[in-house]
Amino acid sequence: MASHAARVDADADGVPNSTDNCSVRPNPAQSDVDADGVGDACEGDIDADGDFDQDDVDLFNKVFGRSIGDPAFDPSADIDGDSRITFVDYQRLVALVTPPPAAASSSRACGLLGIEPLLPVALALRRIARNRKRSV
Amino acid sequence: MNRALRDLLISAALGVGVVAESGATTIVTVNGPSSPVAVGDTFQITLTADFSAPVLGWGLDLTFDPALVSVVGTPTVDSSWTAVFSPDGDGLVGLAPITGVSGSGVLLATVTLQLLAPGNAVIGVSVTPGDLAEGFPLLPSGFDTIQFNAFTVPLPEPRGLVLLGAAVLTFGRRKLVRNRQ
Repeated sequence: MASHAARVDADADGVPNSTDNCSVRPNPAQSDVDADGVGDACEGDIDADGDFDQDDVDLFNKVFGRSIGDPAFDPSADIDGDSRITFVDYQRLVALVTPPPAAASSSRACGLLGIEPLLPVALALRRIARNRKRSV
Repeated sequence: MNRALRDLLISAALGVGVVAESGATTIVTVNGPSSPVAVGDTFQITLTADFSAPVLGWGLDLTFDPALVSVVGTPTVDSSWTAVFSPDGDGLVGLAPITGVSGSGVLLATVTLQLLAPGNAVIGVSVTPGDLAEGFPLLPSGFDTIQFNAFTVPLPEPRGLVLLGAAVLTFGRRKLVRNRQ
């Protein structure tokens, strides 16, 4: 019975729950950059249910401002790994809970960031040029 | 309206928006009573903010001369924020919903103070440099620059000055009456 429990691997990443540093999200590499015992894949998943949502935010509110060594400190809320739960961690948690819109991320991927405000100008100039051609 | 002209106007507006955002600052104002506060009296101040962009929270320090003023009780963080643990124990921290908070004249907190002694009691706010649990974290990242507007507690007119004023008025009136006679 005990040996079966030791072999349970809930996220099927090849690492049994008993030694998995993030047992609810697959992370076969077990990456833990800040070495706080919480796998990078689980940073921000404060309620350890495998997703990032308002429940995590509600728990974050209860541990904000805590530092390592404080009994209320929760390493999964210390997303930037600086041993203190601050506004930077909140910003990162909010980004996990509300991922950026696909359109915005694709425009960034195309290297258009910073040029977007000029697009209406280009379109307007093109339209003016077309109207002139038609009138000629 | 011509479509091309409309597009040009929209792009101009967008351009202005970009310029305004780059020079943006959160303005924090300490508001207090307009009527005089006597020594020993308690009074309330409010901290309000004008946001240039949506923020995810705020954390501030109250600054004042402890020989003149003291804080009574714990500050009340406005209900539009979640009051959270403040590492420095002053209770002046609030977290915004994940959508952020923006706008002008947004109430942050109400603080009760007591005037301990007469003097130039200036109530200000500040942020500890490098403390990532203070300041105004922007959505999605970074911190906004901040401008602070302090409040000076209005004191009752000093009794001596009032007496001097009354004396001057009385003598002036007598002189006026004599001159008329």
